[in-house]
Amino acid sequence: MTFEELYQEYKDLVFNLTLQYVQQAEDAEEITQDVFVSVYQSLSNFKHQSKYSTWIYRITINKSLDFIRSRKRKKRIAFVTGIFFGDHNFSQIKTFDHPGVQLEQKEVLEKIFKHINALPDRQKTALILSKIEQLSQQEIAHIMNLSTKAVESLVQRAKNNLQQKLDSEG
Amino acid sequence: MKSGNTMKDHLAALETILRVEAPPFLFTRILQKVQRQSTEYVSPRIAWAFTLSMITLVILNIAVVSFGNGKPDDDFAKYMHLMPHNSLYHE
Repeated sequence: MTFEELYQEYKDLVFNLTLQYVQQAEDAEEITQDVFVSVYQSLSNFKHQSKYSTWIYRITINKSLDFIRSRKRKKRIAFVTGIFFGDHNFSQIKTFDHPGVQLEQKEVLEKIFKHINALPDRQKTALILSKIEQLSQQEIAHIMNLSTKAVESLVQRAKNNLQQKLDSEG
Repeated sequence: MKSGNTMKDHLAALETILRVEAPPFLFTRILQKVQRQSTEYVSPRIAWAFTLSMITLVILNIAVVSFGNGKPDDDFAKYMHLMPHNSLYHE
């Protein structure tokens, strides 16, 4: 499979999955670019031990989580420099801009995503793959390199945590 | 949806998220990024050679500072009629 064929086949999958992590079209575009640059660079080393889709899912998840970590780090640095130098750029937090969310659901989903974003990385990934991407537990287990039991437990813990956070919000 | 909704409702809300298409200009941007990165590429051999030469330089510097007692330089300065100090006008 050539790089262009891979891109055509998986571009929407990658873009939609990144959107579930960052809920921002602009950021999702940036991550999608990074994912395909990685795919391009390592395509010749791909050993066909897994399916292309599994491989691309893994790269997308890692790139999305890296992006979120780096964004948090930048926010912390901006906050500290804001305290010392009076620069308040850290307050310019991007708003929820998920193009797949319908207007009437926007408020509810913004609230749910706020709590999903606060979950530990593995719980977040398991919940996104299972409830939004609608993948089977076996597929998630392959992607996350876990047993199906472990995936089941991660999804359950994610749901419990989400429930607690939503309850405490009232 | 009201605040008293169950978890089932919240999870059902997640299922209403629509699939969207990736922007059409992305492929061109990816190719540009790939090209930019390939021109900025430094081969591992060059990177290793640079690292090794830097390490050798640092080790040499440490060795000179730690084991050199400075006397040979003083003798050399006298022999060549150089001033082994920084003061002006021979005060």
